[in-house]
Amino acid sequence: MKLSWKIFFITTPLFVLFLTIFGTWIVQKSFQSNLTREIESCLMENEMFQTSYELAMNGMSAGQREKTSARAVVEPFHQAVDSELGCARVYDDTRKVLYQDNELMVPHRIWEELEPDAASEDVQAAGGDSENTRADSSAGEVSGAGEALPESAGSVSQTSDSPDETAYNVGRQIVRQDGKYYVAVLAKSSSGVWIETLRNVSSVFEDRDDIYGSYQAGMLLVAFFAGLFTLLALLLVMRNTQKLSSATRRFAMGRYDTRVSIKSDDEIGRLADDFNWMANVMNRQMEQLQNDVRRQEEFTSAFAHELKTPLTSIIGYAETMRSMDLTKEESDMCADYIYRQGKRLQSLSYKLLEMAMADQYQMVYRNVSVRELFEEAAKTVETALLEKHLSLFVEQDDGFILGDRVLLSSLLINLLDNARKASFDGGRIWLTGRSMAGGGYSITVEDEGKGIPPEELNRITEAFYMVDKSRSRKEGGAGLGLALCKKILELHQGSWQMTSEPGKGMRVVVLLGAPSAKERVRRRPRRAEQRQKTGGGDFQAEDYVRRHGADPSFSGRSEGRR
Amino acid sequence: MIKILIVEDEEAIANLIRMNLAKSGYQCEIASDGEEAADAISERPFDLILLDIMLPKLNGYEVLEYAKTVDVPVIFLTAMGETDQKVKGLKLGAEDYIAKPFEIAELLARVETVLRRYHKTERKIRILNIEIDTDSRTVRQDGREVDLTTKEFDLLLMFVRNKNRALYRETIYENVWGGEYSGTGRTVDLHVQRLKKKLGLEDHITAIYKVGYRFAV
Repeated sequence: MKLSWKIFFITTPLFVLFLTIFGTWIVQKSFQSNLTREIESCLMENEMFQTSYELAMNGMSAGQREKTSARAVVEPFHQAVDSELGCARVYDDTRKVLYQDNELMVPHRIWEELEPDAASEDVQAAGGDSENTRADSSAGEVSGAGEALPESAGSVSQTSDSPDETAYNVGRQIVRQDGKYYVAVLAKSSSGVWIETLRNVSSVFEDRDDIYGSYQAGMLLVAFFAGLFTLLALLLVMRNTQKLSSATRRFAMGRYDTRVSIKSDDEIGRLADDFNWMANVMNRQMEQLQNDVRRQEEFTSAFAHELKTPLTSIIGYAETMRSMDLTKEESDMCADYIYRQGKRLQSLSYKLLEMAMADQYQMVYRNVSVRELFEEAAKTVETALLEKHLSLFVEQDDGFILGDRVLLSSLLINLLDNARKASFDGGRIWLTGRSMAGGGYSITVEDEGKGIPPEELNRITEAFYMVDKSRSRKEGGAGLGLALCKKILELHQGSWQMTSEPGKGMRVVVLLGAPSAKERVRRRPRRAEQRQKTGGGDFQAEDYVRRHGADPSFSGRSEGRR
Repeated sequence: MIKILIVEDEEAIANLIRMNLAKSGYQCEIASDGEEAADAISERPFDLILLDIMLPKLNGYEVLEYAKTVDVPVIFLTAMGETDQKVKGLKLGAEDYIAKPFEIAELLARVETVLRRYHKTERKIRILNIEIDTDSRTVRQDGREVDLTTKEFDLLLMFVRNKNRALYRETIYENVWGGEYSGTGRTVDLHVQRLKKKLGLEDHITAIYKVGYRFAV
């Protein structure tokens, strides 16, 4: 069953139940108060009747009393009422009727209550309903036509709270007869007569039933509409969950661009937001994965290309040589191709090996002296530079870089090698080191070579990417140098910045983190001091780039190397 | 003379192909990038194009589109060896593909096949006193028809097409019989002996020690 129906079927009956209880209570309350008022007024009436009767009797002599009928006594102050409304009746002490308005008789048990020892035939003598004889002693219980109602239970009292009633006994009872309700009040006056007043209070009961009836009808109507609105509201809310669940299904089916648009502040709205958020995160992760896979595929295919091209040449030329009679020049050419392509394979395998090593390499963090690092790198590339008649200018602030010596050296050599490849014959290359204010160190490699078009700058770190294929082939490049540098930088949590202008040269600024102060002080206290003395002050890499960016030719290089 | 355009950015490979095709009597031209290739195609007629896929400027597929407009057969040279690349090339209308690394004999055979399909080769090859009709697959020597088996005919054709070139037993086997050469069987030698006898080519087809045979003219 749907949640909305569940909620509907739970709340609506509960609503009806509570409404019924509350309504019943209210109606009952108002009925009670009406009834009490009626009873009060009956008591009052009885008392007035009694007082008037006594007054009239007291105003007469004993003789007069004998002669005067009760009716004559009553008539001056009492207007006889119709039996529909009630009755006033006067009994003498033997319960003989002295006066009555009409014939209305109501079976009540006030006699028994007031005078428990009185015989039942007295009741009979009082002209009560024959069935009344079966009345048992329990208060408020009259069977048959005469029925004492629970409302009146215990209301027959000999001892009234009212001090006025101490002189005589007063009892009252609500009795039902022939579908009508009466309040019967019986009082014994001081003169020994019994005064009985009956009053028809059916209207109070009818009112109550009336109100009950209309309340029930109203309540059902209200319950119906309330239920309807609840259901509508629920369906509206649930429609949102419908949306959400269908979106989830669509997402699961592979439509990852699925989003839910539920503009709401409630839980469903929040759930929808969460769903969208989750979808976004998942999309990002999937994109990431796809990118990784794509990059992997690109690498594989580039690698296959890089591998198969020299292999094809080597195999092809070798086959040509062994199966054909070649002239001396031809076989020399073939041998040259085989040699060069073999070298290319060698360089590729070395670079790949380096890459693989960087991946699994156990880094040895140490404070590496920049001076030693620069010297080592310059020495390594010296021969290659000489071949192209290039000049290398090295300058550095004394300092230390926390890192792996082997990897840092490889980084520098690769950058210098790139600069060499890009340079024109007889060009200049600068290798500059600057310690920075924050404790980091920046290394700049700059050349005057071909440079790289700006749009290719972000691609050159991709493995096997070569801006000018034929040229870098001649230089023996495999397209892996910068990819390797990038990896080394990542391992050192360093960063770099490349700027280039085609035809004018290229500048790479590498920023490396500071060696930890503790380490530096602990291991090389004296050198650290020296560094601070000779350090470049508050140098920033960006400043550096900006400052030198406008002026491509560096002047005043102190240390030259040829 | 048949003219072939080689589109290949790797100079070593382009030169290798050119050298071998030239030895087989084709006239070759090299284009080292897509644009150069397109220019060459539009300016001069070619009988066949050997096309690398990974090219600077215009890639191989784009050059292929262009080549189709002048109705030149194209053979792809692909380094990937990936199925979808081959399929894409063939679907775009390439006649064949050659995966790198390839062997020279294979390259020549494929070039030959495509040219024959386009009827660019001569139907009749005359060499020494032998006349070979590649269409009817008949061989005449001094005007008299010689009865050759299918394999013998293929073998003869291979020798003729690779004249003055040492043919390794494995190359012969792979091209005539197909499949991997085990290196121990005597199939090739047997067939070569029978062919020599039938056509009296004992002086021209010579065994090369440890290698195979050469058809010298």
